[in-house]
Parts: sequence; C-alpha cells; structure tokens
Amino acid sequence: MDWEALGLSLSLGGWTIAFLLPIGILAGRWLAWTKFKGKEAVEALLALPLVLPPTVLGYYLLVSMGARSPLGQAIEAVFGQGLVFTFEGLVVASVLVNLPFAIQPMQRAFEAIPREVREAGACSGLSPWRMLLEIELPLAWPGILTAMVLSFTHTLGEFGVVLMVGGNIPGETKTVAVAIYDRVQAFDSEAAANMAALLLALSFVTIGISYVLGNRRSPS
Amino acid sequence: MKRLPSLLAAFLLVLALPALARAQEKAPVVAAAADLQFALTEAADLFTQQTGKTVRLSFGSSGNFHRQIAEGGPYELYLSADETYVFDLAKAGLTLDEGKLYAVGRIVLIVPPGSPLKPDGSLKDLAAQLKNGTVAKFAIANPEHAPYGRAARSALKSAGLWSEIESKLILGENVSQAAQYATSGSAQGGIIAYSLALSPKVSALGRFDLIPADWHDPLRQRMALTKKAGATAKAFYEFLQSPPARGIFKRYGFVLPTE
Amino acid sequence: MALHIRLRQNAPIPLEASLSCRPGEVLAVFGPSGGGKTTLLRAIAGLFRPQEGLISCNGKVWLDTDKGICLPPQSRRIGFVFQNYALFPHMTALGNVAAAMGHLPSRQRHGEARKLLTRAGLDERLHPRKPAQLSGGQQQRVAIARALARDPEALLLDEPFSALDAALKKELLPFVSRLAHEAGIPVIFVSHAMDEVLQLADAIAILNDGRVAAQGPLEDVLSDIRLKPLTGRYDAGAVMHATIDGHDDKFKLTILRLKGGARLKVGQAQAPIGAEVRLRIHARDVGLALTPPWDISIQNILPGVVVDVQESDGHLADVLLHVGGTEPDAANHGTPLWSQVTRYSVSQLGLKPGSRVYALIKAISIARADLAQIQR
Repeated sequence: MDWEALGLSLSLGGWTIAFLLPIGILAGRWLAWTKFKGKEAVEALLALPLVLPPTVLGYYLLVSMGARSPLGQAIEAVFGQGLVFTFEGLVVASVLVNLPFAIQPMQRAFEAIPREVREAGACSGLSPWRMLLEIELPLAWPGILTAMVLSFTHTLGEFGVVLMVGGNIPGETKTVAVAIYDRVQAFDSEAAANMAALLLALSFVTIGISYVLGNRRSPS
Repeated sequence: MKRLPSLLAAFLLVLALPALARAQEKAPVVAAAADLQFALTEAADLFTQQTGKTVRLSFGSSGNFHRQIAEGGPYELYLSADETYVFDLAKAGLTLDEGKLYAVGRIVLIVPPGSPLKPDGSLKDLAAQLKNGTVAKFAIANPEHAPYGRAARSALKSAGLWSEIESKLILGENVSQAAQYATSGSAQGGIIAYSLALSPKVSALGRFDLIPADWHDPLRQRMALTKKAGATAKAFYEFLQSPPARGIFKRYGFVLPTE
Repeated sequence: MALHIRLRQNAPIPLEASLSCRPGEVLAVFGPSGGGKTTLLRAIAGLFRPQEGLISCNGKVWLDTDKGICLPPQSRRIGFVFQNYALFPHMTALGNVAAAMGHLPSRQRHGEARKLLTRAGLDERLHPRKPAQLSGGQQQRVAIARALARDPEALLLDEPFSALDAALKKELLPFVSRLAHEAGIPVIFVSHAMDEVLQLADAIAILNDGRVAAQGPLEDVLSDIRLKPLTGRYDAGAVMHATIDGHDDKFKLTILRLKGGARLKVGQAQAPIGAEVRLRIHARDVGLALTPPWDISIQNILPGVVVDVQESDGHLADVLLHVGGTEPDAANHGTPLWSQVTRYSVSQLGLKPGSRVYALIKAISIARADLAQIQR
C-alpha cells in the first residue's frame, strides 16, 4: 500500500473541493438565475470535461502551462516554479476537470429555489449577503454537498489528466490511481490489488453519501 | 454539528499533507527508463542503506521523460535507455553535462507458459508459428518513444518478420508495460528487456532467450544530472558508477561500459 | 405620507397607471386575470423595473426613471404578501417573521416576532412549525405577520385569498381587514373577486389591459354604471354606506339606516348597533313602482327620484335613482341606487329623469357577501 499516494489523492481531492466550493456557488447561482445571450454556450463549455477525453484536457493544460508557453513562463517568473509536474499544477487541472461535477448539481439546487421565495427575501429586507447565508445556502445545501462529494470522488479516480499534467512523481503527483498503474507495471500485483480495493470502497461510500443526500432532498 | 470542528481540522490536515511531506524530506526524483524497474530499485535500496539518503524513483519510457524534462519536470537525475535523448537535453542546456554511459542493454524473446511459441532467440520458431497462424498477439514497447521498442522493431526487421507481425503487435507504453502484456497470457509472447526478464517476478511468468545483439543498434543507456540536481542526486549519480551498483547492473544482464 | 405611483410602459406588458393611496387606506386594484395587476404590484415592490415611472412613499423616492433612480426591494420599506405566501420553507413560522426584522437588534427579533404572530392570530404552539406543517390559513397569517415585521411604510397584498377555500376566506377576510386598517399605512390589495374588495377596500382602481379605467372611493366607482363591463355584468349594482340601526332577533333581521334616513331590512348581520357597513344592492334585484304597494311581501319600499335612464340595444334598461332623501331635494341628499328593468317597463311607467318612484328591494336579495362591516 502506497500511503504517500493515498495521502496525496485525499489532499488533491480536498484542495479541489476547497476551490470548487466558492466557484461552484457563484457559477451555479449565476447560471440558475440569469438569462443572457450565449448562456447555452457557457453551459456547454463548462460541461465539456464530462465528455472530453482526459488526454485532450491534459494536452491543452500541458501546452498552456508548460515551461515553453507564455503562461507557464509567467507563472515560473512569479512563483519561481512552473505548474506542470507539480502538485499545484494538479490542483489547477483537477479544478478544471471537476467544474461540471461541481457546478451542475449546484445549479440544479439553486434553480429549485422558487423565485418567489427569493423575492420574499428581498421584500423582507434581507441583504444579498443575508439572502445567501440564510435563504439560498440552507435551501441548496444538499445539492452543494452532492457536488462536493462527486468532485472529491471523481478527483480520487482521475487518471489521464494526472498522468499527463503531473507525470508520475512520488510524493508530488503520484496519486493512488496512478500508483495502481505504476504498481501493475512493476509486477507488484498485491499492492495494486490493495489500492484498487481501497479506491473502490472509498468511491462507493462517497457516491452512496451523495445518493442518500439526493433522496433526502426530494420529498420536501 | 458538534463533530464539525474535528471534521474541519481533519480536512485542513489533509490539505496540508503535500506541504508537510515536502518540508519533511526533499528526496530527489529520479526519472528512469522502465527497463531499470528492478535493477535501479535494488541499487537505490543499497544507496539508502549505505548513505541514509533516499531518492524517489519514477519509471517510464525514456522518450516521455525526455519530453517532461524539456517541459520543466522536476527531475534531478535522468537515466535514459537511449543516449541520444541525453545528448539532446545536454544540447538544450537542461543537463549539467553529457553525463555517463552506465549500461548497454540486451533484449530477449519471452513466452508465457502455455504459449505455442518456443523461447528461441533466433526467432526461427516465431517465424514458423507466424506462418501457422498460432500467434495472435505479440507485445513490444512503443517504438515511437521507447528505446526497447525500437530495438525490438529492428530485431523483427532483421529476422524479416516485421511486415507479418505488425498487425499483431500490442504496444506497451514502456518496456515494463510490454513485459506485463507479454507475460499476462493474453499474448503469445513479446520482446522485452533482458534486465526485466532476469528479475524473479518476471522470470516466474515465462521462459526467455537472448536475441543476437547485432540485430539492433546497441541500447547505449546514458544518465545525466539535470540543472535541478542537488547534493543527494549527485551522490546517487556517483554511487551508480561505483562497484556495488555496477555489480547490480551486471546481475540484471547489462553489459557494463569499460570507460 | 401617501404612496404615489405613476407608471407607463408598452412592453412586455402594457401598463399605464397613476395611483395614490393614503395612510390607513386600503386601495383595491381590481380587474380580470392577466390585466397587469401583479406587474403593477411588483413594480411598487421593486421586483420589476418599468420603462417609465415615478414611485414615492412617505416623501421618499423609490423609483424615478428620469433620474435613473430604482431602489432595490431591500431599500423600499414594503411588506409584501405573495399569492402563494412564498414562506421560507426551511424556517419555522417564528423564524420567517424574525428573518424580516433586520432593523432590530438580533436579541429582540424573536420576542417581537412572537408578539406579531400572536397578533396575527397564530397560536403559540404553532410558532415552531415549518410552513409545510401549517394549513393554508395558518400560512397566510405567517405571511401577513412577516410582511408587517419589517415595520413597513406600505403593505402590498397579491391575491392573498385566492389559495384559500370559501370557509377559510370568510374567516380571514375580517381579520386581514382589521390588520390592514390598524397598520395605518397605505395598503394596496390586488384581487379579481368583488366580495373581497367590498370587505377590504376603501378605494378601488379598476385595471383593464394594463390601464387604470377608473379609480376613486369604492361607492363612487362601483355605482358607475358605465363601468359595468369591467366591474362585471352580474356584479353591477350600487354600493352604499349604511349604519346598523337595530336587530330584530325574533325574525332574524337587521335594520340599516341609509344616508338620507331611509331604512332597509336585511338578513341578520354580525355587527353591533351603530357600526358602519358597506352594502351592495344588485341592480337586477331592484324593482320599481309608481305608487307604494301595500299588500306585498317585499319589506323594503324606498321612495326616490329617477336621475338617469340608460336603455340598451336589447330588452334591458338601467335606471339610476336617488332614494331616502327628504323631499323636495331628494336627488341631492339621497343614496344612489341602480335598478335594472325592461325597456317595456320604462315605457309603461313613463320613467324619465325627475319621475318619482318607489324602489322595491327583497330583504333576502342582499346576501351576506354583499354586506361588510367597515373597519376604522
């Protein structure tokens, strides 16, 4: 069992949802309640990672963040370190890959709040900040939690993008999913089997949680 | 809700894991050709025993590592299975120098139990079985970016079998994966690194025979420190040129440079 | 101190309205569904921004499109009762009311909310319940308490009774009427049901296709026969003030005194002697005679003077008379009353402005919904 890889996977999942929580809430609300030209295009763009092969995303990230790209050079100049083949780079990639897993459930949850309830909030004098904290988040929280669980689980299982953007660097970018691949190549099937079973159990539990939340939400 | 603070604390701890790991040990990352999977692991363990220092090994195809180092990958030492990759990085100024030749590799034909193929390094039996149609799948590493894949292709061309076998090939991403495919039982055999075949884990899975060395360009394996190399990486680099390390390479079937 | 509204727009819903509502006055905005009533209310609340308009309340400008002023609902001190109440589903009844008390220190909110809910008639045991655990009527009480919780400068009610059944509506109407008048602020109330309007409103604005067709005191507007197509053909009738003069407990009758002194017997009403009531008498329930009949079951025989006769293209004619005045200037001091008779009758009786007639009104033709106590 590669504990370092497991810790790295959990941490990557944690950072991913830490970034996706505010991004998802803002984007989910915006998409749920705003009508504008080109909304479908924005939604399609955000949903792309659902259907795109991870390698396509990995390729573009590699090209855009790599040492030879202007962005990569700028990042290196500011932080003294590039993003490619680093944990930070993985976090950026993981946040992008998980956008639809975070935003879509949140958007549905915000859409489910009746317009009149929000209007009643405004007419009751609730400031936008109080509306968010006292009305919107309490009503949308099952969807938000589902989004977080899905993103976290999906991060644990992400392989293609991690391998392309992160390489396979122990303690830096070698997550459990990559470690399994690595162990198979090293003819170490015992470690591979253990990690595969752990990932299976972990994913089952977290997805199960999201279904429990989903069922609890429906009868209101 | 009472458990919220402890849950939050656990979450923050998980977030901090990579930073903690990094602060604790700055073990250098070594990019190594996949044929070194077992030999280099053994050498690194010996290095740790002797010096108390550790290195982190990442195995893959030499071509991929070449690309990653060119892209700014954080590797401190690069052990390639093909010296031209090292020369290329040296020319680009990404390594300290042109490095050292550390081994010359050999390739073998490996067949798993139950395969109609005989472990015959002259590839005569492979030719016969290809005619019979009993060979459905045959594993080699991807010649595009794996030096051992290129060597396998040369050998098959030398034996005049390339055009016949090309449609039956399954390509491993690196030679270690090719070995995995060749011994899985789903393929009738494959051409892999001698150094892998000699490891107990792989030799238990099939019989093998050396392919004549002059059927392919010599697999001149060269290593070099990158511009990011620190003291530990440099010590490991020196260690790999020392007699104990050379002994390990020799045991894994490598021909050692005399320079 | 009043609420002044002037709006104009062509799209998406045409709207042209100019209204005022004084503190303590309940203004009904009446009209068919889809006539722009709710849009008007939403514009006042700040939930909808009209193309052109000026809204001010209590001297403060809420909307001035010329100057680019459009305050958000949070900055307009309004209380809004939504058609479906739109309570916050995750909060208790008490929480719903306390949430709207942002102007109070948080320590005081629950105490004040409890007082307000109790005043709104919600039993203390129901305060910790969520909206889904309350009946429609109870939800409405919470919604009204929440609307008042902000200490509003204007109260807006959007069809507040449409989701309730007839029995609940009967129970809640007087209560809402009392609360609305007690609040002492302008109250605008949107409805398409005339019985609600009679019971609640002091003034009425009739909205048709987004345009205010008529507005004024309830009695004046609802007695204007020209508005019959808008106030409803079968609802057409005269609305008048009256005072409870006495009850006849033996025959279960109530005696009303009209302006000008005429007395009217109706079915027993639940109001004390001296109380002011509003009364509607449908035109088709009023018959006319040139001499007072003696041997007849009809109890109410009121002398009056014909003021106007309007003959339709069909067989009907509408006759406006003033009743209850003392001669000779009854026309000036009596109560207006509409009577609908056939054109044949007009011709037979020779009715014309100035004719002296007797209006015959069956006591039982005045239904309970036609009579409402006025809250002052």
